[in-house]
Amino acid sequence: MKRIAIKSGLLASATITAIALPSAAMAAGVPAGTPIDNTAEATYTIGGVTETVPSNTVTVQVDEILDVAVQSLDGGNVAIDDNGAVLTFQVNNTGNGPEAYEIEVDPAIVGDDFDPSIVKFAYDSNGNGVYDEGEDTVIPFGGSTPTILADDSLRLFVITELDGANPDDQDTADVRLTATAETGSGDPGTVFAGQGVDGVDAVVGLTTALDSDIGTLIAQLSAVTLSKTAYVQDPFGGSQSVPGSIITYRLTANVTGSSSVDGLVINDPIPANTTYKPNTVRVDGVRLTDAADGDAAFADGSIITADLGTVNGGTERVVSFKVTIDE
Amino acid sequence: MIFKTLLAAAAVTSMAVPALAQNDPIELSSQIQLVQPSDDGDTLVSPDSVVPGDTLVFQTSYSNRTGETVTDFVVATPVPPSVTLTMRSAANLDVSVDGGTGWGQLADLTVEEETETRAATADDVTHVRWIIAEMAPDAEGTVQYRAIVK
Repeated sequence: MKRIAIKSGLLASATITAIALPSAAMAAGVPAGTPIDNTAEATYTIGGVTETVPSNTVTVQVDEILDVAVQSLDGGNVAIDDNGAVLTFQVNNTGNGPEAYEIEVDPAIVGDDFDPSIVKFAYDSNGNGVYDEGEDTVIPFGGSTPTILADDSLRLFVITELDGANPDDQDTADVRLTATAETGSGDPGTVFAGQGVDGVDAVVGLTTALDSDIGTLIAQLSAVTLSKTAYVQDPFGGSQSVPGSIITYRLTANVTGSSSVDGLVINDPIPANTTYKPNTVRVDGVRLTDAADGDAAFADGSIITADLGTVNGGTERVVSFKVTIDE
Repeated sequence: MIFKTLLAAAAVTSMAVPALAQNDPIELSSQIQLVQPSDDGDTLVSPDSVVPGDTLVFQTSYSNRTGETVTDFVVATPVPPSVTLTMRSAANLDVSVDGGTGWGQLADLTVEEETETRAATADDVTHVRWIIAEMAPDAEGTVQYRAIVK
């Protein structure tokens, strides 16, 4: 019964109001619920006497406009690797009354390279502008922002991961965040009777009370390829593998992709029937000591280890060492 | 009940005795209408729904039921702070920008600010008034201004 009553009121008002929204520039304007009065007073002279008479006062209340603007705050593509990435958006209440907005995040945008997984989204509850894991308040899926005052805005964070997505390096993924006024959305001029602040009508503004924007992730992945060559010098000036020959092993680590690799360590056991020639480890041609000291190399009789640390994509590191074929 | 009867009696008496003419009404009635623009020109509708950017018409209807000629009839109305007079209303009406103390054409008025005096704008208007020098018995009419919801 109640529902029917509201509906018919809605339709009737909507036709009138739709035409009466003249200006897109009037974003927020007078706060919803503001009374606008008309009252007058007349003074006049009658029979030499000055009299004063007031009029009635008629009041209309400003209705609530439902509007919203969403924008991505990331200056460009946001790098994502196996650690995931955070996209940042802002929801602006461009209406004239307090409003909460339902948030929807869609990673399955047509036309990009891959679809990341959305771990969760949160708002900047501590107001510091950056995402703080475990501190900023998570908005549950299908949930809404807290109430945002007219002309105010709220920063949202979308936490993404590659998860099942298996992008190539430099692939991009679009993620769309949509905010919809909780009171309702629809064609401009649609009226939600009595649902504005202080019981005024809520009227959908020119933004349709729904807006979205896209943030873009770019995969920054790296791969390491390792190749090994052996160069044999026999005791006779040839290259036969005979007892006493010296083998120089050369390990080339090639890091590809736009990202860097952290903690790259190369281990190579000394082959059976050979003996490591002490102090022959070189990294990128520079001879290093065997001891576990400040340099990148360590060697004992059974293994050589080179700790190359962080290696940028597109670079090549070479580790070499020598062994003697046992007699 | 008794009070009501007394009032009724008073009304009857005043009609019968013209000397008590000040009890007969100059009637003032205020309304607000919403301008609904359309291709065929504006129409005025009851303001079921008012949002920022809407143009409202603030009307005051008057009538002289005193049975006598009234002179120096001045209707003054405050302009709500949440609206701005349209350019046309601001340019054509007798307005005040200081709460109803000084009056004139907007172009002739100035506003004192902290460090300077500047020309008044439509947004500065606090009151509007209309002056009718002489109003015959049973004369009636409507005065109005237009303003946009800020």
